[in-house]
Amino acid sequence: MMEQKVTLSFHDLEIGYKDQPLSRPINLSLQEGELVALMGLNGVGKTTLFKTILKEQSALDGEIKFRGSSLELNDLQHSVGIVYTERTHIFGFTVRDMIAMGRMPHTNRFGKLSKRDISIVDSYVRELGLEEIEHKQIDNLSDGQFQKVMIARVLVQETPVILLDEPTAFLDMKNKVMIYKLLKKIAKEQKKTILVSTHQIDFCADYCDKALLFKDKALIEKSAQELSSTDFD
Amino acid sequence: MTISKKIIGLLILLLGLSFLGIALGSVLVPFEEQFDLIFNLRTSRTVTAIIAGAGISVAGLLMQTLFRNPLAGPSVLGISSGSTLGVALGIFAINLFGISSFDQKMSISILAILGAMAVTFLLLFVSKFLKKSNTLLIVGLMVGYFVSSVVNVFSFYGDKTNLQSFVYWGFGSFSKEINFEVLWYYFTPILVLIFLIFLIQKQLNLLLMGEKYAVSMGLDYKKTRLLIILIVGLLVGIITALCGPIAFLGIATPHLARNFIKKSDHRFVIPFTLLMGACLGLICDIISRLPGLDGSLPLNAVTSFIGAPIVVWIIFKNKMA
Repeated sequence: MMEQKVTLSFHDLEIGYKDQPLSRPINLSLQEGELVALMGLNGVGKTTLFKTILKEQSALDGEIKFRGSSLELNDLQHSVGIVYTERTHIFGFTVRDMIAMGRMPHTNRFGKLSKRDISIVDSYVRELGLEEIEHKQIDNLSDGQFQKVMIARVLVQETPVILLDEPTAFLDMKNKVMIYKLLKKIAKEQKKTILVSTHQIDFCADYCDKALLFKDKALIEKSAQELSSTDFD
Repeated sequence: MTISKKIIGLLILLLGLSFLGIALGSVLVPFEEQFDLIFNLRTSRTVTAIIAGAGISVAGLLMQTLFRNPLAGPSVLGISSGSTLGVALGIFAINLFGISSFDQKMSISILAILGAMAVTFLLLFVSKFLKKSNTLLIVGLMVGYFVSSVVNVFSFYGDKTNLQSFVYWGFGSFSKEINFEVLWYYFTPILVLIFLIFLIQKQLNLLLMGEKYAVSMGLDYKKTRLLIILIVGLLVGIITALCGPIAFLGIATPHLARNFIKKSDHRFVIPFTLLMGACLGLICDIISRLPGLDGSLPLNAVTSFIGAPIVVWIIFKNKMA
């Protein structure tokens, strides 16, 4: 079996707010090629963990490492990408414009796309089957199509780690399946570490490699199939 | 129509309007007597309309991008009111010192800039505590009312001559200053600021995605926000000091530009906003002094007359009603 490399690791990480710590020290690591579900009831700290990884808020204690070195804010755009639940409305942005935004961390001061940038955008447009809607305005997309576009955007950013904050919250069953299949394929084929916060135990069992469960202020690792609804009591 | 054709079309329109602006006036002057008039009054007025129209419009674009709100603009957010307060202070207080006319103009201009910056920083401070950017517009309106009340108190106690010059200033005009030597003190910083805006187009595009996405793609949000506020405060302050408060152009022009090219990408929206702002500035100026009118109409009345319906159209178009 091929050796897997650790991308993101938490070392005695404590998250939350000064007067309200949300976790005991977390010691876990995520590997490349893994699709990992982040689960737990509302308010237990899933979003706070994301915010802490993205440096939107500082850790109470401990450290987050990326490939063994401390994760710094000015390297974030090259190491961790994110897709949020909410839709972003931008007038006059086509699907292609939105996907190309993912290349911004790689462009010059004026944001001009190089030939390489354009070919990367092209390849992900094809990869995710977005050719037909490439020139459609993003405000005219269905929720499922929009999430797919945002996933294409984060892939184009070429970060080894991708976070998705409840990416299927507003989607119907067909689109949920489509998104999870896509994530699994990307994780395997492109050796990405994908951490998805979700409430969907069934999808977790079907598609994820493992689950991180927030319970009683602890973040514990479980096999995806091991989870049951009693974990959320 | 392609983008380049649209640019060429606008440039031709701008040239035509400039010619019209120089040729037309509310007073008919025989040709041989026109030369001095053209090169002093009408040329300076036309150039001012172009630069101020472009500047105030692009300032509006920056506010709309920063606050991610289609109704943001210098006049709505109270930034112009900040300048007005600065000018009121200048006219009612500084006149007393009896300093020379040039120094007085410059002092008033600096006060207008400080007033605009003060309000912009206040908005920035308040925006940290507000979740909805629409609330910020209401705060901006309230700042406007608050400043108006202070200005009213000044006016009440001010002497008659000062009051008259302040009211006249408030009408707005592109010909408050006609001496090119003095005008360059205003034009140079405006042009430098516009140049700076071209340098931050990538950051502006990232801001379209919202703060969280922008930061995740490497934007230094605090630095960019401060830079935008400084640019907007300075632009609005300088333009207001030169022309008086110009209503609605700042909100309306960026929408016209985006709708014309069907894009939000700042690499295109910035030049189109500048060009359309310049054209609108000229159109408003030409309307304000159509032949047959007795003197010039207040510029502010004309910009509101044209801009207000556009803003209402934006509200309906974005289904905000």
